[in-house]
Amino acid sequence: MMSRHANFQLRIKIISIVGIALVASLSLFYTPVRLVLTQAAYTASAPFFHFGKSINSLGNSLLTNFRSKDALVYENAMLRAENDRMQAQILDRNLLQERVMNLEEVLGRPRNDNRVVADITVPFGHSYYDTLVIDAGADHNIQNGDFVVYSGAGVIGEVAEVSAVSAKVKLYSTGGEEHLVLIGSHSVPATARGMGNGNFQAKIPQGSLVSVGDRVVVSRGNLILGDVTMVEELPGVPFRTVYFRSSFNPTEVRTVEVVVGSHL
Amino acid sequence: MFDLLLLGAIIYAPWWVAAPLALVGAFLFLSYFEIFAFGIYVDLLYGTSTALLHGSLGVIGATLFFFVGRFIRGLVRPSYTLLS
Repeated sequence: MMSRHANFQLRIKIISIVGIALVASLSLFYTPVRLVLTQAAYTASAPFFHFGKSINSLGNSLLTNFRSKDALVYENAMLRAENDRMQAQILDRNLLQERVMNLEEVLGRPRNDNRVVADITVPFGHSYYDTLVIDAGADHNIQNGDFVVYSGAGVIGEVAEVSAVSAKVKLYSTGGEEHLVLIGSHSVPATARGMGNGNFQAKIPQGSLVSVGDRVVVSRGNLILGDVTMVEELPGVPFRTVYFRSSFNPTEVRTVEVVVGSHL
Repeated sequence: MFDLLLLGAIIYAPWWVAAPLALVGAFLFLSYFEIFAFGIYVDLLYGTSTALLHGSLGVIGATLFFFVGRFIRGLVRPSYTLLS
């Protein structure tokens, strides 16, 4: 039989657990409280994130000191060549952008893309939520639902939660997430299902003109989501399964652009 | 000290380093209630209200680890029970 003291202690522990459950529910499920606490968590954690960044750059500069001179000269030459190539591509891209803007003006729907460049504070794969945390937020006019793109290469996801100086980005490739897309030059409509790590899957009717290498764009915003890597066609099945992936590796992304105002 | 280590793992290390560390804490320390605070912190820092289970996987994991840690402790030292 339990003594009175043990009984009292047990009651205290049960009350503590119930209290913790209530606090957790209030902080996570009641949105206004959650937003205030998220802001507080980021304000409190900001020095730790900055410290991590400083340590990382210090480690990189220390490592550079130990690398051989020849390797550095070779890398420098490679980077210069790459830079020249990219400069040429930028000129080409600017020319194309100018043409697109002219066409859009002629069609009566001019687009003014206001983009905010943000560094990634918490990279892909760090947490079990498929989210990125970026160092730009409401202070930069970022709002929930704004598109997040990777250096013009394609859309990576959208802003899911914003605080003053940071925002959480929900990746489109998160397992189970579904988005409307248009596949290929014939713009075949489909629902893309995220499979994690930048991979997607979509089902399209038999006979649809889709092949490997076709571009996939999100129907809202007309931004590139990926390229078709495989089209599976099984006999007796009324649809074809299209597999596609982002044109970049999400784990290597360190900087993104937020298309401000694209949530409308 | 262990709390600092766990906090560091949550901020700097991937989740698969922090999660086993939290389980070790729940096993080593009797009444390791801090694990719930860490669970809420993880959800606030990385989760979103549109995510799976309203972004409360951290708290759910913490609850699971709290009881699993105590259960394993009870196996090693049979005088302990889940709510001892």
